[in-house]
Amino acid sequence: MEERLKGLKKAMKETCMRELDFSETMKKSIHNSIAKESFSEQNMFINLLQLLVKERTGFELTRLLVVRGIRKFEDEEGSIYALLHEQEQAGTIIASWGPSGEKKYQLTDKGRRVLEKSGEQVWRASLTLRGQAER
Amino acid sequence: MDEITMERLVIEEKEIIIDELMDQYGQEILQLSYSYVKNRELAEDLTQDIFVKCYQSLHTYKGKSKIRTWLWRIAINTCKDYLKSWYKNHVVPTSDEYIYSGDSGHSTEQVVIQQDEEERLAHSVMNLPIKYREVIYLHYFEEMPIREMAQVLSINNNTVKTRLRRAKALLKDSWEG
Repeated sequence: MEERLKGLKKAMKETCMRELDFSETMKKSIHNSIAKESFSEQNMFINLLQLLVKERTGFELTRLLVVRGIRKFEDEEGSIYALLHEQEQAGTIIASWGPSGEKKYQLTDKGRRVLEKSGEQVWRASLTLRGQAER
Repeated sequence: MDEITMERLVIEEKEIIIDELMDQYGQEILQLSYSYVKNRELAEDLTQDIFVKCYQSLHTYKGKSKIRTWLWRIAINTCKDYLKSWYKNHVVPTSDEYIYSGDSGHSTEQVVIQQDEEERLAHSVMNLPIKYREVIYLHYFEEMPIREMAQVLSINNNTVKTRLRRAKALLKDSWEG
């Protein structure tokens, strides 16, 4: 069996995998999906930073993002905390504990600079988004 | 601004990386997906999902493992997640493309016997249960070392070895049977 299996690659490529071809069309289509994905990703990130100009809990953020049309965190409740944690590590936001034990997040000076730098992108992103929503 | 923060914003760089990964590994990922789902169109869809996921989680790649290992983990998990949800949604496992549909007058066994050795080998590997098929595929098709297989499959080295042994025994049985 061992010897026979050494020919597996050739065997499969010439039989069941004969028609498999990672084509330029596939590549293009993946790039398209990624472009859409990255737009919404960036838009989400910028909106998150904007909302954190004020102090908010993760729960509030999830709801406020939904209001802004970003439903990404609605179904996966935990995922916003992963992002918040990541940003905390990056130093763009800081967490503190509220009176009733809830964790609150707010932009740091560094986070503010990030937001300002991406200001133009925010503006364009939100304009485009609104444009799409109205259509 | 440090790199971690920038990473969320620098889109072009990420797209260049994905482009390179697609050039280098696109075909292999497509074949790997096929080895799980046994259907060309599905394998193409999954390959697309895999690269989009890879783009989404590029910032989690810390360079501790080889990028290929990292990509393979994403690919394998995506395929398995698909199969899990597929089984959940389809109580009756209907046809997969690969179950050989020869002349309807003959039984599958009869037809298979008539195929040449290559077809027979591919067929017996593709008909193994997933946990055996994947180790055979990774080890013999992709020539992946045991240690790396353990990483991409998230199991330990000994489990890989045990499964390989068992898989070979199964293949031998089906070959001689």
